[in-house]
Amino acid sequence: MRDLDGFDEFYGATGRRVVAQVYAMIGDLAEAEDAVQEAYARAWRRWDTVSEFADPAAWVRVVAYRIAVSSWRRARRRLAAYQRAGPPAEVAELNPDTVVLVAALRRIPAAQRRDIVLHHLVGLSVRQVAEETGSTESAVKARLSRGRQALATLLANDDWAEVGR
Amino acid sequence: MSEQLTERLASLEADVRNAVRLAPADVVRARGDRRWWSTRAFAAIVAVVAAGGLGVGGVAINVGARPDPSTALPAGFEMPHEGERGWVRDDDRAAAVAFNPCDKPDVTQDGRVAARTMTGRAFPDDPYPVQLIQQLLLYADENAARDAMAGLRAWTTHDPAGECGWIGGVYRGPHDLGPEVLWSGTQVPGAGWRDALVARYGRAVYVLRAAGTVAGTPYNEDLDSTRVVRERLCAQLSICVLARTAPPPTDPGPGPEPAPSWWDFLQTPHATPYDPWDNLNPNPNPTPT
Repeated sequence: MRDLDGFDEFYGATGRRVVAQVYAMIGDLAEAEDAVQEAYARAWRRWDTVSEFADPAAWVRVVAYRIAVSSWRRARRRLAAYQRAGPPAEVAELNPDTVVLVAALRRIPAAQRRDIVLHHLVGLSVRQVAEETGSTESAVKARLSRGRQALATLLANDDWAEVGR
Repeated sequence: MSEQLTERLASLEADVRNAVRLAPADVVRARGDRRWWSTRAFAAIVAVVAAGGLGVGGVAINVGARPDPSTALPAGFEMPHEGERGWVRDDDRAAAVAFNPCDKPDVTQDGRVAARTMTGRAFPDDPYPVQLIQQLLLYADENAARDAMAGLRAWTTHDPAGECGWIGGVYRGPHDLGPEVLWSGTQVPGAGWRDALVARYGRAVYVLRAAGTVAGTPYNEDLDSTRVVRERLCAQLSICVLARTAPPPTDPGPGPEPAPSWWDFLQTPHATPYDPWDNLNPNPNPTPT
């Protein structure tokens, strides 16, 4: 018997945070919301297993990201969402700083964007980022450095380009 | 300082958390349960049909039973790259076809009984990796696969001056991938090349989809994956197709004559097409071609 209360508590405590993280990675809030909810639905299907993980939210985040960047799933999800609810609702009101930052993030390569979000927003170490993305620490460091430099240029703030944290 | 980036991202998170509209937990759980039951219901229906039909008395519905082997990929069947780092497998039978350049209604769904889609990168450590989708679509019979192939053929030979900008025809090498193989490709100005290869082997259709940023980036090993899939279809599903001979046993349909060569075509820019890969930014250091 799956732990219903445990799942609800987990979803309530982590759902919004994971949406924010995936949104920063992909740059589309509606897509992030739908991908994250699908990921939680999948987590619920195997909750007995997922709940035993050291960090179930990390599992959800990885699954949600994969769902979000999977183009054919994205197209199918849009169609399904449209059939469920009609045309998309108005975009949520976001702070202009958020919009500017996300626009800049969207202009750098996806791998750099993901690493930056995992490192600077989620708070993972370089090693943990490498584990989550199936990469190497040196590659992550390089992408972080390049990503910060690119963001610094885009946002006209050279301070961000410094390497390391 | 990078702390400033961290702070700004933290502000983003706080802002987004207030704006997020998430469904209640019971709705999310119901969504998960619905998929769980639909999967098992499909398996149960297949089990019943395999056991002799719905009208036969005494047939128990075995929830969670394995599907009829004739309508599914066998347990040991593996696509190239399975288990490799960075590759994701999806066995969704209704997965959208990986090659749909004009974003039209999916012509490959009717009669489909199984599918496997592999997504990953050729040369993951290369600074210019090639994004790949390898997709095997299995049909109930050869006619259904032929119908799907006919739809895909129309897409692969699309007029380059048209809305989608893809062009292709009969695949003529360098690999011998079978008698009914088509290819199509396009250039996306400033973003690189995209191409696709579609092959039919009996009641199976195989789609290879590739996207790269640098013209001429080789992925011959992954073209050869088509041959590997064909061999496994023969060995494990008894879908055996002879190597290509002249003339081809199946009419490949209309196509440009003579077809442009694979690599020559990739050097030629065409109209900007629809492309589902464009948002993936496959290259960490994009260099316009």
